[in-house]
Amino acid sequence: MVPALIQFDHVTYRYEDSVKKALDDVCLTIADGSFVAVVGHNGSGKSTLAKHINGLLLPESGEVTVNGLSTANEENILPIRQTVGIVFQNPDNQIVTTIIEEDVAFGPENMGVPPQEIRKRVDDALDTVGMRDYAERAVHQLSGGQKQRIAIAGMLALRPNILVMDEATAMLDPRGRSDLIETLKKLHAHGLTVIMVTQYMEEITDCDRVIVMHHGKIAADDQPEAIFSDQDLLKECSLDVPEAVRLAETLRTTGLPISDHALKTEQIAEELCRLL
Amino acid sequence: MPITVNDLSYQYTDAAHSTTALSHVTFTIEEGSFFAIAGHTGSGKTTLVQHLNGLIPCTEGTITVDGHSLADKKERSIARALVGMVFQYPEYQLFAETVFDDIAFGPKNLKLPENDVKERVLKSMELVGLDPEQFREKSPFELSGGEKRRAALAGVLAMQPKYLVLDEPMAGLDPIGRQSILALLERLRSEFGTTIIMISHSMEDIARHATMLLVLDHGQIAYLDRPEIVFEHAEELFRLGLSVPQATYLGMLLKQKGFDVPKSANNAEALARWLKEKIDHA
Amino acid sequence: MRDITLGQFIAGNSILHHCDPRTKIVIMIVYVAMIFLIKSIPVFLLPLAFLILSLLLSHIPVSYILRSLKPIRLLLIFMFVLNLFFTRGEKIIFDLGFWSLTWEAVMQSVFITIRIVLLVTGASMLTLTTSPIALTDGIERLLSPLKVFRFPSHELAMMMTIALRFIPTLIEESDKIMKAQMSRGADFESGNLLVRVKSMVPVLVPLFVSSFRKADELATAMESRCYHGGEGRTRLHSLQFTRLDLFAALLTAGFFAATLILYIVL
Repeated sequence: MVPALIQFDHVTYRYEDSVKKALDDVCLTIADGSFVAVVGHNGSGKSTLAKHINGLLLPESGEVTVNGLSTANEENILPIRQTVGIVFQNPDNQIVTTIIEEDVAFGPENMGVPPQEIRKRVDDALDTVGMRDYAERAVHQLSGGQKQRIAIAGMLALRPNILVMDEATAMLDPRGRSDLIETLKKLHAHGLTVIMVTQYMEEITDCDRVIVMHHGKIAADDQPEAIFSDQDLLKECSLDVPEAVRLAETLRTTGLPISDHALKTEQIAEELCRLL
Repeated sequence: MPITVNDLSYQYTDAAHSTTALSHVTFTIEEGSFFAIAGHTGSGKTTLVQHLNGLIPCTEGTITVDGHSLADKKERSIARALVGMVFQYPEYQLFAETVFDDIAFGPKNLKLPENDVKERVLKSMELVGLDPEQFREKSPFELSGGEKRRAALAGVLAMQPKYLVLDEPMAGLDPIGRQSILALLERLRSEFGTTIIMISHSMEDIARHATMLLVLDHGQIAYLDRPEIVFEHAEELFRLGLSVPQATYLGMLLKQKGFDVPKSANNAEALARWLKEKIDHA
Repeated sequence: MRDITLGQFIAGNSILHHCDPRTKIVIMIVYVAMIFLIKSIPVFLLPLAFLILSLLLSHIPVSYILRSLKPIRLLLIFMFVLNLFFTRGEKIIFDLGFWSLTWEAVMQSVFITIRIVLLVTGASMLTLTTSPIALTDGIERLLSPLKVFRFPSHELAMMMTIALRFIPTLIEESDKIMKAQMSRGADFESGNLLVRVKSMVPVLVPLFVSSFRKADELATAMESRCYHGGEGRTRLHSLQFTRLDLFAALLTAGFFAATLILYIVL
């Protein structure tokens, strides 16, 4: 058994002045080392879920625990936030200082890490996201994708076990988006637990688990291929499928035997080569 | 009459140095076309479209809109009324107390009589799918993300532009929102003959809707042709940091593996038919 | 708007870049005192020499410093004219009856202009050679003795850091909003003052809305990165005085003493 890292126990949450439940009796366990996607249309509760993991939002009822620590206990908040890094949607609004390396240092500085150790952590984090050459540049000279990589580095400098991407790719161009996904895959391969909140279905084909949110509830929790082949679910939750899956569907209707496991065009090509 | 851009160059000068944003760009946008512009971040797309209604003054080269030169101040204001501009994330420019007032901002600036303003606002709201009864007195800041986007779009449509320029109009929207914007653009084209000029990263959308595709790279025109012709250069497009529709990509992968995929198999259906035939024969 | 160099920083490796920010801030204060002590125009050569010396030591291109004056050129002209009109004097150059141009007024105008130019270029030198974090760190440390009186020196420094970080973003954003409203026929250039102020509403409202959103999101991001006030914080670059600072202090003291002597003598 892989130990549970994050646990949601009957969590319900409502935003101020709202009758609608943003999270409605959510139960969820995320194991250490997993690569999980959380999808759903706007207002489905996927971001609310993400903000519960590091105690930015606290459940109205129920409990969220990270490494066995409850977010409801105020003393646990700093240790939890060190464990859970979170990157948000707008690249411009989460970088605190003008110079890049100083921003990456912000987290460890808050935790009172000694200067030499901060230096090392900053350099390591910038290396990991491939931005070491930019250490002394100003933030506003970067593209959106580069800013998001700096935001990730800022989190890595806190040495977290979990990285939550709260729609962090939404404002990026395709190149920035795919670079970011590559970075995440690398981090996951190094043992980080990655939770990716997104509405871009292309991004979740590499995940080992997809959680579909709908009206504050978990509508499905399965592997990507199972989600993409469930037409009723996709329609009900107004989700898209990746273009490659749509292409595979067209090939299937023409009578070509493409399997459900082909989620990327490369995989379709491989299957076709075996047929031809 | 078309929009013509002739030998346009532009340099940005910031505190440190000057960078070339556009260099010797020449093209024509035909009336009634769906003109797509693609290019990676920093290729000059936004700079280029901001030239089209004179927001960035044309320093080298010439631009004419229906024969009106943008170099002349008086002609420029005529041209600006012809070319509507929808910025990236246009909902961030909403400002008025009610949705009605926000959409009315443009027509009021045109000094139209009150009745005409009202008519245009209601017409634009109907076009973008915001029910006037329900939304006109609402504050734009109370709307949902998708509704804000449509309200902002209505604000530009109320200018009744002949040419509509859009800078990534679908960015950040969910699938339903994306589809509704694309449907609106097609409706504007067929019903009013509006020319659509759209910056987009989605090659699928471009393949489905655009009649022409301009690919920019480092401020220069890399390709300018019908989308299906441009997509024949799939490998070069990948090198420019762009992508191609998945069907084109599949064709490219099969070609790399030694199959001679015909040029005519350039969309999903045609490719599927060819593959089926080939497998049935084998 | 891209001309604003005040508050911008150019990374570099010069002697000036390596000075402790606290030293530079104190020198800046002394420099300002110098400028305000001066009563006769030739003495301005002293702070001017000081400025040129630091410019040479900083490796910052001269064009940068000159560009810092561009945004304030209207202010300069305004101050110059204002002083021409409202300074009273004896030595009349010519007389129009209701108003006369006096020698004192001309001198006063030149004086004020030189002062502002020296002030702004000096301040630009400070920000161009000192990273915003170093600058705010310096201010925080210089003000830290005031903590005894519950003065929020850390909070003040953090606010300045964030303000400096967001200046370029907000400039870019207001530029974009202006262009968007211009595309809808907004006119920011004609009409009287009242009309023009009113015409800015469609720019200012979205700018405020977006600033509040930014502040909100930034606060969330800072919280997520374990920010909990100034207590127990460490710094990546801890501040340290070196021999360089001593040298800079002595040099400044020399210039200041010279100014003081000339102030007393003249």
